Amino acid sequence: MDIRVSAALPGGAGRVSSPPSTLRSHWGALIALFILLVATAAFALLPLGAFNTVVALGISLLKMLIVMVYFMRIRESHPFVRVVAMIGFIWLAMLVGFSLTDYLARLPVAVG
Amino acid sequence: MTEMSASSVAARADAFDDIEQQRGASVLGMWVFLATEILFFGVLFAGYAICRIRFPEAFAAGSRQTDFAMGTLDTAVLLFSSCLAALAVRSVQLGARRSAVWLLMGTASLGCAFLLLHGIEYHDEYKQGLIPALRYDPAGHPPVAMALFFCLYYAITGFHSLHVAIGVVLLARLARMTAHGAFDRDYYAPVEVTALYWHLVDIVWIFVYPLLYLVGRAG
Amino acid sequence: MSNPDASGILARPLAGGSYLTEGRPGLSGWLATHDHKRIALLYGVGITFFFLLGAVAAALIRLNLLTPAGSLMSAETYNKAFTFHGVVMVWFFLIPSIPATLGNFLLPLMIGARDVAFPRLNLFSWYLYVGGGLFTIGALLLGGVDTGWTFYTPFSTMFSNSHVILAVVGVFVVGFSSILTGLNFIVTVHTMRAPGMFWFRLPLFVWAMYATSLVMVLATPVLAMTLALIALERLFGIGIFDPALGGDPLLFQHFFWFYSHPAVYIMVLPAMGVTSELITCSVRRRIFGYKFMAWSMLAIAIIGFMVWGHHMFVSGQSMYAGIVFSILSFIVAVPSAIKVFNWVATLYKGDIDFRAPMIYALGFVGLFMLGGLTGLFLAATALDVNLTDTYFVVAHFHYIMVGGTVMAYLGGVHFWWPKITGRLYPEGPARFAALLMFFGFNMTFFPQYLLGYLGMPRRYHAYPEPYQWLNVLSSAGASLLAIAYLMPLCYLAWSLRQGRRAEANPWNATGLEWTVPSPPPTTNFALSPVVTEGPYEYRS
Repeated sequence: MDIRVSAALPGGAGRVSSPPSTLRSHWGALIALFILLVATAAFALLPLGAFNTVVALGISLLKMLIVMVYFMRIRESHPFVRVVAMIGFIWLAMLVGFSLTDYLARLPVAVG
Repeated sequence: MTEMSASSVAARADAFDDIEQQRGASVLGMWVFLATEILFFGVLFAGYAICRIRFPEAFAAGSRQTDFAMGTLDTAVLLFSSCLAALAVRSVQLGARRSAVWLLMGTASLGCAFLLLHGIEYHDEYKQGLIPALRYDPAGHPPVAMALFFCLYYAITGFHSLHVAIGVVLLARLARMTAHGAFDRDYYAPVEVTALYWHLVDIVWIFVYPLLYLVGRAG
Repeated sequence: MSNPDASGILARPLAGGSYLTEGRPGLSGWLATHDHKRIALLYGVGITFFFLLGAVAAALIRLNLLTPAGSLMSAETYNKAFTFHGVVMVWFFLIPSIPATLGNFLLPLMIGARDVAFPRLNLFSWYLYVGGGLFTIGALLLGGVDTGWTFYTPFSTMFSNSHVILAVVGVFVVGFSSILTGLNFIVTVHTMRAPGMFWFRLPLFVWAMYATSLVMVLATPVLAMTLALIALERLFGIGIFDPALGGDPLLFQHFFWFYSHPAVYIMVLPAMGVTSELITCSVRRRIFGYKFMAWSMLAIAIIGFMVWGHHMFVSGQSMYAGIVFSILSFIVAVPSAIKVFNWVATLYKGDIDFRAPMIYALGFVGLFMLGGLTGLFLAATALDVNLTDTYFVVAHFHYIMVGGTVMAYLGGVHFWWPKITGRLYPEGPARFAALLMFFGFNMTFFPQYLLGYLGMPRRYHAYPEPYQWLNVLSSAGASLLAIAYLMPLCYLAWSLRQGRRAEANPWNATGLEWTVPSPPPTTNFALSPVVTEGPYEYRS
């Protein structure tokens, strides 16, 4: 990646300079991720019915947050970067959500 | 601002005033790109959600055919590689060039390992006849729509592997550039944004794992 | 950073040449340039070329529809003609039209920057645009595509024997061009504003570019992946859109319109931005309700994502989903109406200077209003059952996209022509062309509202006898429109050599782009300007 910027002028987003993170936060995050990985696999084997999916997605969400906070350091980023980080997920939710208003409200169709 | 090092001066574009500004713009640009990536994969996940709601049985049956152990191993490899990528950024920021090179190489190697594992999985699935349009004759009496699960499985993992492969190339190139002293504590934006990309590839997989490998495993 | 210039916005030019004469000479100086102004002109050449290609297809369509039998073309050729017209005009002309040319040229100038944030990426976008164009032209040369620009499944995936994959790859590639342009603009607006250029001091054109970029970045990836799925479906039969395997053809429509409805706003938001600049300069007034104008553009960009289902009222979508999408479609009309009211309020009791750009801008407001209001007809579920897939729809979106966007684009080209080329366009022919365009456009497309209301379906190469007189009227209007489009091409080309030389600010307009010489030097500003007041501070 070779991204160059020209004509930069003061003001606006991106004036962020945070000190390097600590080793402890990285290894701690990794251990937490591995524990959650084992938990996902274990919960998948328990017969919880529909809650299997809920638990699996919940744990995935938690893992994602750990990666974003400790590896991508979203908390130290400029506020607009945080907005951008969320916006992709919000728009995806919109795509899935509005499509589902169609699929869930359609009369059932018999398919083999 | 601190005094500028040789590499940061060399990295400056002509009309550029402020290295910190440049880094901010690169990081923001990468985040915007990541938002587009989320939506790019999002189409496949949306298709998955809708098809799975329509055919829950077939998706459970399909998911049971995937390789549970390999999928878990894939996830572990990627999570570990993500941590190494984050550590590489830290090393560059601290000016520890040698360890940064090793960490970047380590990240790229884990990416290669992931691709290799996936190749093995694809090979096994080919042998079992689980690849629609190529060789599809699953054992037993699977539901009709199980083929749909496998189509999505290959579309999602295929596009994801493509992203991993691109990431490996970028990381290897960065390792080389770091070894040649292209980056230091004043100028490290390329390492930082590539790591961000790598973390997103990891995040996508974090969702792929339960949605493709873990459905209908209980009971 | 310090600025010795006490008066604020005046930045002194570098001694010597302009971006047109500086830099590497010859073709390589253009094809390898990183200068946003040169890239804008590269795009200008590209979109003009594709506009002419698309216009030829349109001319063939209108010629064919002169007679009820449709004797000029076979049904298959007709299908390929309107598909080519749609694909080229939407993705290779309208989407890049204002953002990639005027936007590229003006955005850095308007915010007081020396270039966009990622100049090389900007050039790369242009190459992607050209590459995508080559695929599309390749598909045409090999025999064309007959699916319509919408690529609806299952026809595009299972039945069409034309070069769908090639066309889809072309659109996929050009999609990445617009994603990268949007990304570049967003980062530029966020990080490159001059000191004192606060968000609510940005010209509305910049706000429009910002809102457009958001839509480009958030919608286009969905189109790209959806088209990739079409290609995969044709190549491997992956089944997600194939009912035989349990897939759903309607799923394609959901994904497609998730992009393609917001894409309408990619076309019309920039036009709104241009119009705001032209109107304020012509009445020499501040815009009425600046913040409302800025927020309403963001609102349009965001709500525009939630209305896509109104394209699917009769396609088998659940009627409950239809109701939700219908209500949201009515809501998105509110911010659009706010904009029209504010333009009118800006003009109210004003001393209007009717130069050519202003005629174009007024043309935009009028045609956009007609197109927008008929959009409400189509958003009403019950009425849409009768009007869907008729010429009413064709007329509606041409009013927005051609009447609206092309009028504003040409208005903007005239307004900033002195800045871009350093020459003035000839006022007389320009006014005549603008008026002719307005009349020609209405004569072409108003009869199509009537045709649609009378029930003539779109995309047929022949029609029953009673529809003929309206079709003849429409075709006659199209020939006027063609003359009106060719005129600027001629006199603007003429003005490149013969036009009067323009000073830095020939219209006496506000805005940082008018503080630099015409044409501007490569680095735009010799010293970074300092902004001390909001936009449109006209004092008559």
